[in-house]
Amino acid sequence: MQDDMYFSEIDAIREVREFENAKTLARLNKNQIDVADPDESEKLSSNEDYYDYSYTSRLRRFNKNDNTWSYYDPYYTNYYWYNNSNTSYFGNSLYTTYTWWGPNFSNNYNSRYWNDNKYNISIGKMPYNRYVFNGWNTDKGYTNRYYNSFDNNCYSRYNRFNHQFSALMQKNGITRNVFQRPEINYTAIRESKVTTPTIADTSLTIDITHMQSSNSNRDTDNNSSNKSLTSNKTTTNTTNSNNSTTTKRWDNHNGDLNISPNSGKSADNTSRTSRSGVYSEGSRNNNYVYKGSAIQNKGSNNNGGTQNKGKDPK
Amino acid sequence: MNAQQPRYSFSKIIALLAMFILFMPVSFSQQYAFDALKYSFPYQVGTARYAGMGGALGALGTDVSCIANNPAGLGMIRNTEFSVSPALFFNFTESDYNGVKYNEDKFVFNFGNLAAVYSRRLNKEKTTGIQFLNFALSYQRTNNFNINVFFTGVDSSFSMAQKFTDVAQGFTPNVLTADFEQLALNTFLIDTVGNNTTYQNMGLQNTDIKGFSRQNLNGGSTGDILLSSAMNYGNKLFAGASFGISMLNYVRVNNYTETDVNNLHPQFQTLNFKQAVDVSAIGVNVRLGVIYKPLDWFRVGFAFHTPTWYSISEDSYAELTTSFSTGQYNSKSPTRLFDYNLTTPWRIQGSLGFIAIKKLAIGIEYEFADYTNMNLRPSSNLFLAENNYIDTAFTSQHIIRLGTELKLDPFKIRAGYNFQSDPFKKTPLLTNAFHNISLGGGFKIVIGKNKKHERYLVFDLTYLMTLTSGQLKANEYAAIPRYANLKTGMHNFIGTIGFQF
Repeated sequence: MQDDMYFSEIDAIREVREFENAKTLARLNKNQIDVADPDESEKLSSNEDYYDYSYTSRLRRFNKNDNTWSYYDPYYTNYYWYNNSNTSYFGNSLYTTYTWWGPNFSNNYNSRYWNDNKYNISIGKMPYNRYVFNGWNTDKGYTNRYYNSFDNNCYSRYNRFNHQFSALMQKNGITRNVFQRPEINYTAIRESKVTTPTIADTSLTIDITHMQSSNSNRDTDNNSSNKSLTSNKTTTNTTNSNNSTTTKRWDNHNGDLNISPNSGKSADNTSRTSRSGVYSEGSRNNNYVYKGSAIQNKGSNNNGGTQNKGKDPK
Repeated sequence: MNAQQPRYSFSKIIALLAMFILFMPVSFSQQYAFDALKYSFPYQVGTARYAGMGGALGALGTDVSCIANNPAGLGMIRNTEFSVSPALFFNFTESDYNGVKYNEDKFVFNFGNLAAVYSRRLNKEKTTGIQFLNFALSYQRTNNFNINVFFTGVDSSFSMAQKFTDVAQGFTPNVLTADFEQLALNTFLIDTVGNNTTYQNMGLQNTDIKGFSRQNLNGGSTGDILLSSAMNYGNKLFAGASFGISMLNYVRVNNYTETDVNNLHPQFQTLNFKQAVDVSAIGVNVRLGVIYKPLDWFRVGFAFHTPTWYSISEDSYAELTTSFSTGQYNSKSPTRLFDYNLTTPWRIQGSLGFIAIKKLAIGIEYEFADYTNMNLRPSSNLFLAENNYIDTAFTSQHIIRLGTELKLDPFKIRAGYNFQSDPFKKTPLLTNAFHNISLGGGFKIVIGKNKKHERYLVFDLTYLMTLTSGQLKANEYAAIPRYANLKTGMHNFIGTIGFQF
């Protein structure tokens, strides 16, 4: 029992250590909360070191055991992989939720890509603002946006209207006129270890507006589109005979959102796909296939492999 | 008032000498000098822990009563706490005049200490730098004047009636002292004869055999309200300061009675002369202290107390009642108001503290005060004689305190001893010393826990015994004084209840 008269130097050291341990424990507990409750994570956003799902993303990186994706691969940074409660989250980076960026981002990606403003939301404290979102390395545009050369869940440094991811999608023949996020089975692709097929003609326009939200028509429509693709292009599709939709531990989505980026190289190894921002789907009828854009081959954006693992843009 | 055998034997008591509270002046003009000594003399009880360890906490600190001795001890407290220390005070005095003994006792309930401490931790992340900054508001009782004395006897060398007569001779009735011989004239104890400046004694003569009795009643105390602050620097250096507001109240009543036991006088029967004084004062002082703890088991402390600057207000009156065969007469003087100032001596303290195996604490303390530094003001003419007497009769005082505590969680056992030398000059060091012996214990239990640390309930109990002896004059106006021998035992039971958050 403590008695001040007998307090010694050892007691003082122990008190300091107990305080440090309590501080560390409190910080760990706080990080764990954002895994369990996305709403709680928003309350904790007052900590300037905190960004949404920081702890979960750390777990995801830690648990990844085949070095498939780079540090800033959208697999790790795409907000939607952590919170699929709103499709508008898709394509927005976790790092845009740092609280010291003040007003958090709005889902400009979605508004530009999906051409539907109704999906514009703000994750964080600020209300809807179509063009306002946080970032550094601002370009000539009038907005201040998040840009990370290693993270394709952001807009182009040089063109504020070009979201990196959307740019990749466009260059691979997917227009902005898309009202529904394509359903892509990344898990199947990854597990099949199939290389990403290339699309010779990047001007291919794929109209997927006919895609319905109803699941009953999905397969039929997808099959039709795939047929269209197949018929118009010389495309090497990698058939994923394994239509497994095995849920992996990082796939905390609904059954039809079993998506993860692939990791394979192209079959001929001539067109090496980037391991970031390139989504190569399998040959399932409901999958889209596109290759990585030339952006990945540029040095500034070359983030192939884990060798170029970046750091959190603090 | 009972004439009986003493309640306890003093055969085993060592060094029982002068009682400071019964310092009696050689002359009336010295009364204020002795009062000054009475008001300056420390008799601190404090908390049960403080009293139990003999007050030797100057270096050990951590008790709220330390604030009154070494304020740096406040810096060693690591919890916000509140404590109250009620005390029961029993005083037993035995008087012996020519073999006739009387016992008087007095019982008083008071508070030795009340304190509230706010402890603010400034640094949790490292052991260097300022760790704590503490503040306290406390009340500490610093002296106790409660004692009663009574004795009787037969005397044929002095008569109060004759004294009144001698003092009045040569003065007209209108210039007689209102609270002395004027009362005798008013009650027919003296009367003019021939002219209005010659008086005759209407009572007993000095050589007449008479019975007399002396009753001395004393009450009151001094206490300090202390505003204190202290800091803890790196758990090594502690420094603190206290600003004190001293409050004093003292009441004294003397009753002297003369009785014609042999019916020698045809008319005079008895007289009773009463003198009452009611004193109240307020003063200020400052205490500074520092404690250095170079090692976990050793610490050294130093404290300085400034003088207390008192502003004293005194109300006094006298009353004489005479009884003759023709009737009873009474006269009371107007209340005399008298204000003056007193400066008590400054004090310095040095102390050592030892901790063994985190279970045994030993404290040693030495305090020095020079009573020739006392000063009554205004010093010109009015108190010239008193101040000269202070310079010639008094000297420095040495106080030694020893205390120890054994910690056997959750219990503690304490013992202490306190020695105070006599402040009178030409007295050997161990003569007329003042001795306090204490024994106590307590326990501390956990009653809860908040976010930071545990909450404690502290309960302590201490028995403090003070033994003194001395003499009291049968009458201070007698040319050849006669004395009664006094033996006094003061017994304090102090309890402390404290909460630490």
